[in-house]
Amino acid sequence: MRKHYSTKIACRVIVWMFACTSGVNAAIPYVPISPNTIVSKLPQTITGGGTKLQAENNNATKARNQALEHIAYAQRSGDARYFGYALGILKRWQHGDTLPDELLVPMAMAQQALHRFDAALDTLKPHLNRHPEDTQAWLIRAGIEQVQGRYAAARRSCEQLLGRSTTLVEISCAAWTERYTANAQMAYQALRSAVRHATTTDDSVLNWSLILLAELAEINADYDYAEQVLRWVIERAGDDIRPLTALADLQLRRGHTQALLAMIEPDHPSPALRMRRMLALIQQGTLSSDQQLAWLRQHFDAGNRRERPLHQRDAAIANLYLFNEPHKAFEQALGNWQQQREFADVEILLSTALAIGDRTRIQDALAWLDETQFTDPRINPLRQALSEDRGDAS
Amino acid sequence: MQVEDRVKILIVIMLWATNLLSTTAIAHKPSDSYMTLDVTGPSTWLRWDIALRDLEYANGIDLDGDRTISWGEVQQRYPRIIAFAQRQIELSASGSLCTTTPREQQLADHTDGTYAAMIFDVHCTAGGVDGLRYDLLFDRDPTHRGLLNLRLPEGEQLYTLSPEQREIAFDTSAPVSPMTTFVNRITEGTKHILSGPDHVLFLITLILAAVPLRSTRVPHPVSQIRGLVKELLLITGAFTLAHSLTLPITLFDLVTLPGRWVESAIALSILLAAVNNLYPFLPGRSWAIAFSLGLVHGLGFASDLAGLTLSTESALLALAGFNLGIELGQLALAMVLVPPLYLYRNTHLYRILALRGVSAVIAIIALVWLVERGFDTRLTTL
Repeated sequence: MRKHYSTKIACRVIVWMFACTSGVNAAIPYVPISPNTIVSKLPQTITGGGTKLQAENNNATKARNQALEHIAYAQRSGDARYFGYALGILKRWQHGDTLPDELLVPMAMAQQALHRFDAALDTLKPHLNRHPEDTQAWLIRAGIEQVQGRYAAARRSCEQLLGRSTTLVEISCAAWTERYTANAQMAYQALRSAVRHATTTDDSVLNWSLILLAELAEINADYDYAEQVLRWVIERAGDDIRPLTALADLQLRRGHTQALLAMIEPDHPSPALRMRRMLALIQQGTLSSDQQLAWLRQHFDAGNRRERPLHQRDAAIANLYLFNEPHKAFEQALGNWQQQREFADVEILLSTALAIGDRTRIQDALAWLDETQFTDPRINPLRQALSEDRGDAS
Repeated sequence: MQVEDRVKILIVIMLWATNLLSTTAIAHKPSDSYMTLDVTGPSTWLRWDIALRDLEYANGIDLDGDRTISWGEVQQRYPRIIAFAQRQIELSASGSLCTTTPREQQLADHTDGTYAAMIFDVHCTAGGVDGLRYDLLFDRDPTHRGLLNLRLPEGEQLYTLSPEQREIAFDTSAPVSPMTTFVNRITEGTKHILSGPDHVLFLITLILAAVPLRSTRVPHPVSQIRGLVKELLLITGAFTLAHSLTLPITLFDLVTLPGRWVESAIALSILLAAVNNLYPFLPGRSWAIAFSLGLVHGLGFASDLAGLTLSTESALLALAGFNLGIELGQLALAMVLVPPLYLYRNTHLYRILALRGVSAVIAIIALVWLVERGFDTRLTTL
C-alpha cells in the first residue's frame, strides 16, 4: 500500500517536472538573446496604426474605412483588441450622442462585437429610420436580435431584406432565425439548395452561409456533411479562426478528439482554440499540462477583472470542465445567459445547472425554451438529464 | 460609380457578412496593461507591462515597417516608450507628485502576446504613495483597462482602471517593519525558485545524485536516512551559499555579463550535472558541484529580481530574506522528491528510470536550451 502511494507521488513528480519544462512561466521578465529576435507580429492588413490615424483625424470617410479594417481583422483573427481600436477611432467623432451618419453602422458593428447589444441597437435605430433601405444595417440588427433570442423581431428584420438583397442572403437570414425551431429541417433544405445555386462572388457572404449550413446539418443529424462543409470553409477562409472554432466544437460534440488534436497546435495563439484542445485532451483523459491550464486561467482572470467580462461563455466552459469549479461556472453561465441565447449558451447553462444540481435558478431559462419552442435536438439529452435529476431529487 | 466607392461597398458587404459570426469566436482578450505597485519595502517600485501591439498603435515602434517588431526595434524605441509611459501615469503622495526612474529594459509574455516589462523606482518626497492616476490608451481604445495589483504589507489589493475610473486612492501610511520586508522577501525567494524550470531541473539532478551517495566513483545506495538528510542539506546549502555570493555582485552592478552568456552558462551547468549522473566525471562531492555550478545560477537570479531594494539600509536584509526563501524552496522540493526516491533507492526502477532515465531527459532538455540560447535559435516549441 505504502509502495503504491510512493509510486503515485513519484509519477506526479515526474509529470510535474515535465510540466515545468513544457512552457514559459508567463509574465516572468526576460531579455531576448539577440536584437534580431522577433518579439511581436502585427496584422499585415492594417497599416499605419494609431499614429497614422491621428494624422488623418479630420476625414470621417477615412475614419470609417479604418474602423472597418480593424473590425474585419478582429473578426478574422478573434483578437478583440482591434475592436477596441475601432471603437476608439469612431468615438473621436462622437459629440454627445451624435455621430456622423456614415459612422453609425461601423459603430454598431463594433458595439455588437463587444457584446454591447442594446447600445448597438440604439445606434442603429436613427440610421434605420433615415435609411430603411440599408440592408446591411437590417442584417446587423437581425443578428443581434437572433443572439438575444428575440426570434420574432429577428424574423421581422430579415423580412426587410426581401427584394433588396441576394437570394442567398435572404435565405441565410431566414434559416438563421429558424435553426432552433421546428422549421430547422425546412431551413436546412432551403439553405442547402440556395448555396448550391449561389452565384455570389463574395467569399465572406458564402463563408457565412456555409458555416450556418454546417450548423443546420448538425442539427438535422447530418454530421459528416456538416464536417465536410466546415472543412471546405476552412480551406477557403485561410487564417480565419471562426470556421476552425465551429469545426472544433463539432468534433468535441462528436467525440472526434484525435482529429481536433491534429487540427489545433498545442501553442495556438487563440485561447478559444487552445481551450478546445484542452477539452479534447480531457475527453481522452490525457490532459496533464498544468502549465497549459495556468495559461488559460491567466487569460480568463484578466477578463474577469473587467466590469463586463467578454468571454463569460468560454470562461464557464473552462471552469466547468477544466478547472473543476462548477459553481463559478454556473454563475458565469447565468451572467452570459442575460446577454446571449444561442445554442452554446443554452448548453453551458443547462450543463452547469446539472453539475451543481440547481434547477431552481434556471426556471426562467427553461420557461423561455418552452415559450420560444427552442427545439434544437442537441439540447435534448441535457433536458432529459435535468428531468431525471428532478425525479431523483423528489 | 467611382472605383473608390466600389471598394468601399465591397468592404462593407464583406463586413456585414463576417460580422454575423462575431459572437461565436472572439478569442483573445481586449487590451490590458498589467501593473504591480509594491509598497511593502522601504523603497517603492512599479512594474508596468504594456503590450507591444498597444505601444506600436500609440507610438509606432515598427521602425522598418515590416509588420514585425524585433527586440532591436524595442531597444531603439525604449527611451521613447519609457517617456510615453511616464506621461500616462501619475503617482502621488499627500497630493504631491512622485517621480519615477526606469530600470532595465525587459519583455514579458502574457496570454495575448509580448509586453514591454518596465520597472520604475518610485520616489516621493511627501511620504508613501497614496494615489494613482492612469490615462494609458483611453483616447485610442475605450475598452482598454489597467489592471493594478497593489502590494501592501498587509496583503494584495486589485484595482481595474478604466475611462470611468482613472484615479484611485489608497492608504500606504502604515510603517513597514524590517521584519515585514524580510518575510516578504522570503516568500518571493521561495516562489522564485519553484517557478524557474532551470533551477528546478538543476536541483532535481543534484537530488537524484544524492540518494545514492557517491563518496566513491561508483554510486551506492545510502543506508540511513540521516546520511541522506545531511547530504541534501549540504547540497542545498552549498547552492544557496554560491548564489548568495554571485547574486549581489550582479545586482550591485559590480560585474555586468550579457544575458545570453549567463542563460547559456546556466543551461551548461544543468547539462554537466545531468551528464555527471550518467557518467561521473566531475571531481569532488555533490555539494562541491552544487557550489561551483550554483555560482552561475546566482547571476541568473539577479536578472529576475525586479523588486529588490538596493539603495537602502534594508537592502542586505531583503537580500538575506530572498536567499533564505530560495533555500526553503529547495528544501520543499527535496521533501517532495526524496521520500519516493529513498524508498526505491535499491531498485532497478530507481537506477534505470529515476537516476539514468530522468538524468538523460534533463541532459537533453539542457542541451536544447544550450543550443537555443547559445545560437539564438528555436529548436522546439517547448
